Amino acid sequence: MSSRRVLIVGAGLAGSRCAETLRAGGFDGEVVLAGAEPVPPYERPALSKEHLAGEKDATAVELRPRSFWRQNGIELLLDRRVTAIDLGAHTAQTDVCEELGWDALVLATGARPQMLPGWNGPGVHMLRTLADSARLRAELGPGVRLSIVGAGFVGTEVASTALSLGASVTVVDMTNTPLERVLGTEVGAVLASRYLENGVDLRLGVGVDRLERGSGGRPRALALADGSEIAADVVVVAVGVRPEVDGLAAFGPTGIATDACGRTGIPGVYAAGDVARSWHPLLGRALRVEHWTSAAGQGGSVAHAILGDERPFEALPYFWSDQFGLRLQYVGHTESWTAVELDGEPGSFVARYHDGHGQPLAALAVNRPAELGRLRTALADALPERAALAA
Amino acid sequence: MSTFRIHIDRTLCSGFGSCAELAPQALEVGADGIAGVLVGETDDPAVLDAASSCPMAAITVEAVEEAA
Repeated sequence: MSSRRVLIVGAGLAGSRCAETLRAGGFDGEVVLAGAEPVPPYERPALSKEHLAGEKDATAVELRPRSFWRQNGIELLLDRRVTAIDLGAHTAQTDVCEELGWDALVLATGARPQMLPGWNGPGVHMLRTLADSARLRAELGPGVRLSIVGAGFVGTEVASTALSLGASVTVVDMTNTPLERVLGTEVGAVLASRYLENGVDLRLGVGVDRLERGSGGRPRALALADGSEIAADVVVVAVGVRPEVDGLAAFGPTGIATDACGRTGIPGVYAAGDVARSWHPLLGRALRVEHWTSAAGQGGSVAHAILGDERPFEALPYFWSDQFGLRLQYVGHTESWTAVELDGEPGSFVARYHDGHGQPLAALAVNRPAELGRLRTALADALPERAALAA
Repeated sequence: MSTFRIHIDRTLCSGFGSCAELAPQALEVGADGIAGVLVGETDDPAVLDAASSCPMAAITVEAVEEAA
């Protein structure tokens, strides 16, 4: 059956890559790409880096020139949020009182950052959208005291960029090393030294009690659980995201389950990107990842599935981060590992994550870009053996 | 037979490296971790797969008509 109208909800990377791939694959029905933000699809990784630094303006981060969408017959419906979906009637309602029909529905709504309860207010930022990045940029500069809650990728990248803009930066996290959940304490310790050398005030292994506000309701200080206080003019809360399933009542808060082609259990309904919890054939499990590569690949796989051409997304998860003069490139996926083997020196090293059988699970290359291919191949080669051990 | 002309936007490349795996005779990842073109033109259609596999959409492949 051919779909005449594809409605893509979410105009981020997964949604726009889906739209492009439909057209590249010869789809000649309607393609509607509906986005909650008022701007055309753009590259989100730049928001904590080049855009925040002022090196790339809003136009420079757009994924495609504006003329691209029209030329490819992709209808952009921007600045509207889908508020409800009727799976029986094949319609979606938006917050500007439209009713959009569809033959195929692609849910690519992404994720929403979490604010600490009661912290919303002037001078307190989250970073997810282009507008968020612009607002934060306007507050950063020499002499500004920035406190970041959360030593994950967003928090540490913002720390790096804010330092380059002349701000003094404190990073607070309950964990004992930065990026600990993903990279572990061994790598985290190496990175912590790097941050300290660059002048970051790291407050790790301690929780945040409350935000103290001064005049105009602006931040004055963070009170930490150990009784200490950090003076702060600007605060960034970077404590993670949750899948954006508002308006998608049929789907749970842990993400939308799909197969490797992005199909949900409902015929004609697909999901891709940060919101999707997709089966990964090589890893033999379902997982929700928030990486560029997965969003792009899943968006493409959904388009192919709509076209009747099954191309499951099965590339190994991959992400990168640029911070403090380091390029971190991570391939594979693991939430628990038995051993980490580091090889190199603090400014240039490889970390290999192994399970109890000595099998590789994931690898990190830090300023070792030429090794990434070999690391990825070694992981891909080891997967069948791991699957056999697990069976 | 078609000949393909390959272009890489090196400012977009994130060093994923799938292109060099799919079309190793035409593309490589250099010591800087950024993909580069080994041959400007090739008749190997593997470069089409290499381009579509790129997560950053950094590779464009143009079919060049052969002179008769």
